[in-house]
Amino acid sequence: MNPQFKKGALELCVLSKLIDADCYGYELTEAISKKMVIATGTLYLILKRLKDENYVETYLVESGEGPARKYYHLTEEGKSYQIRLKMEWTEFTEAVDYFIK
Amino acid sequence: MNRDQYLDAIRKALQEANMDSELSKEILYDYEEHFEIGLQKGKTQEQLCEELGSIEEILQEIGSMKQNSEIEGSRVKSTETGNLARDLGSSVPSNNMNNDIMKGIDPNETQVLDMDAACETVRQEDSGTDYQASNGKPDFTRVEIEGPCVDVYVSKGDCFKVDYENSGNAKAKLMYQFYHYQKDGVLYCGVKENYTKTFFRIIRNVDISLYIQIPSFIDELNIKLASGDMEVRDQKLRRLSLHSASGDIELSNSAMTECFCNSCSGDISIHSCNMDVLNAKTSSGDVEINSGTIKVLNANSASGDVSCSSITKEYYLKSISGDVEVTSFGDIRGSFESVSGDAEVRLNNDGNGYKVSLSTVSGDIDINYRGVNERECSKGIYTFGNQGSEFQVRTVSGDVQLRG
Repeated sequence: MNPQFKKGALELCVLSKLIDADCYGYELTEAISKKMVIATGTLYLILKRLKDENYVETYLVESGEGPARKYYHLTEEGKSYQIRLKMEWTEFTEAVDYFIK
Repeated sequence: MNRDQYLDAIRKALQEANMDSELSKEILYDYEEHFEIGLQKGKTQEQLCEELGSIEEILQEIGSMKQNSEIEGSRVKSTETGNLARDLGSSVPSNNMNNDIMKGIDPNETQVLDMDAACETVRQEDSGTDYQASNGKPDFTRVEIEGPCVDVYVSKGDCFKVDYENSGNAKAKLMYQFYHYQKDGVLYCGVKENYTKTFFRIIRNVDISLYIQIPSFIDELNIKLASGDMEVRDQKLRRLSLHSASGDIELSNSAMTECFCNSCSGDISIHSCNMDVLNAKTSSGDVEINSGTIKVLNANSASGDVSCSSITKEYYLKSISGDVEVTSFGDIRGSFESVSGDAEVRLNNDGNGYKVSLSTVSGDIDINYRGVNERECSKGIYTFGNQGSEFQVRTVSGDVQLRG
């Protein structure tokens, strides 16, 4: 897949997953990799980038066993960004659908 | 490959990419955590390495990330050269954790949610059935309004109230019926056709209006009409969505996090509104946005004009055959496009400069910013001063104008 294209799509998946509830990284990568074949490692870099751009925030939660989990939370800006991406995505896929049908 | 080899390889890759150590640590932490949790869930080290993906793939991503951050960095630097107007549109700090839906509203005007006093009055005036229902606590925060051919007027009120008015002839009165019901925290109301009383569906000479009062405890309002205009004012909501197939949409003096306005053949006019995101779309009408603060603005018309003079940070404006006209305040980003209309941007950013990409196929490009007048420019990227604003203006056959 075109890397630029894939990146945008994954970003949208990550943001959309976080809309409903905060997730920790492993949970997020499991959910997404269940649906599509990706190198889950890249998701962490996407999350890092989203964090740098203030679209997500992180906080640590101690878990009963094992290491503390880093949870990701969508900021207000992240929500707006998700809406925008979603719109672009729908517009784009609609156009693609039109030609491949 | 096992865990340690994998992490080592990434550590090395990060070093070679000259990532700063704080950042590398953070990235490595994520992978370590992934291994810990994965192992705990019963996966093997090999399995986890494979799932995470080849080192090459991650390396590539790190490389592109680094590039991006360098570009970001330089862009931020150029915009940070002191400009008060730039901040007009972004009063909310990015790390704002609270989900206050009323943000952007005058803080002095604290709304007390008097739940107990809230009541629901539903009246069916014409048919003479005037009744009040369920005095008590509101158990809905969302309102859905639907109708085939109704004009809807929404205003603010102390309680939820709908007035139904059918001024048509006897047949029209028979044909349409007002309904309302409540389910799972949502109040549905509107007008529907009365199939049992008529055999033919003739939508003609229908004159039905709904006057709706929305109290402060409602946080989401959706209105969907086939034909008919809507007028919404004085609302404070989290989400507002207005759809009309052939009517006009008018929205004023309201605040909300997100707003969607959609009309096929009507005009959309928005006045003095405070929003995070606005999506306005019409096929053959005009879009007009006046005053107010809208952080991210998407406006779209196929054959109408798009004009805007709100305080906005990010614009995505587009028209196929109409003109696109913007008066902005502070620094902006985004794009302005028209195919056969003109595109004009009046940039009021206190001389903080710009970096714009201007292009047209057969129109003229004129720039008149801070007394520097350039006429009939060729297409390309133009920069001025601090490059505080960064956007693109594109047309096919219309003229492109940048002023300020």
